[in-house]
Amino acid sequence: MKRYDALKIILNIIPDRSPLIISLGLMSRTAHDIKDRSLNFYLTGSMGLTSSIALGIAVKSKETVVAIEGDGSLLMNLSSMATIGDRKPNNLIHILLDNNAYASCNAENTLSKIINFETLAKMVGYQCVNKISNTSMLSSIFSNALKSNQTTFLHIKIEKGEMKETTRIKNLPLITNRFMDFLIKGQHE
Amino acid sequence: MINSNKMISLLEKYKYNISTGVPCAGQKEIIRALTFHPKVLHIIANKESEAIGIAAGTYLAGGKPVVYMQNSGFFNSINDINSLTISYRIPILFLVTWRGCIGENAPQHLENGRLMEDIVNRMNIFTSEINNENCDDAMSSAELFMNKNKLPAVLLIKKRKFL
Repeated sequence: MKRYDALKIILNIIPDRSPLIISLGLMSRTAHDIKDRSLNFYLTGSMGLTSSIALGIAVKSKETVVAIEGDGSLLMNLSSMATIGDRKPNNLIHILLDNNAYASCNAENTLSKIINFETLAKMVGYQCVNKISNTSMLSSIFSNALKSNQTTFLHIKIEKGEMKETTRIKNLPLITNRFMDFLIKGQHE
Repeated sequence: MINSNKMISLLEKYKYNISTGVPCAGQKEIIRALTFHPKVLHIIANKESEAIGIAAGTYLAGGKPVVYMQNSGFFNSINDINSLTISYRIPILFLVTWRGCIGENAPQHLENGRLMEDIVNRMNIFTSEINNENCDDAMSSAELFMNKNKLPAVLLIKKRKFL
């Protein structure tokens, strides 16, 4: 499975009302080019904060929040998993796309191979943990996770190497404004 | 230095309902009050940038977050303040203890303390020292700035005495 395939499945399945927080670099840019939506919050800097932002949204919102980040991003803020496991929001799905590389840079290796993320996620308190290796597994497990009301961690192995012609996301205040307009307006309806 | 009851009543007045951060002894009474406040959801964070991410998320979902830290942690997280909260127009109130100013007895704080004012003044944020005398005005100016510009505000708290 490639990054593009994983993101396409997630973006096709995710409900319209679900916030999606996506880590910086090719992850955000690829997601943007597959399916731009008001509740996509694309990170462009602040590497590592994807899951923290998702946690903040999850504790204040009733919607199911999905965070997608790469292994470099997760390793940069690994202690966020402890914060999420402690808080246990039942509306948070934390997805790791793991290619063992800083792929938005020059595919330098990360240390993701030496960590058993499933064990770690269970130890700190995630209630539902899965390792995913193909697209059909991803479709069914992600669909079920959206209905499960459990703090979920999905570890998806992806391949290195993909096309890099993606659109740079430039209007950052617009990302915030339309996200809040969509999410908060909906809460009052 | 600011009286903790006064600071909490100002946070109540402006309806802050989320608190997170990394503790500093210079704000221990404020942090204790926020931790147990019935109208404030308190979230433990492991480092300052994580707290900023959590606070930003709560704001995106309609919350009003305050983030506490020492200036050492503020320096740790300047990239996140610039590339997330400022670039995306996410107003967060920061309570930052200003270690390393006059009277400091811990040498590791001196360099941060010396640079603090120059750095916050060059950033695209509201900054004011807050104390018992100016707190109503400082807080009201910070609120006006955040509402108007959707940018963060930093209130600097000097420690009263060093032990």
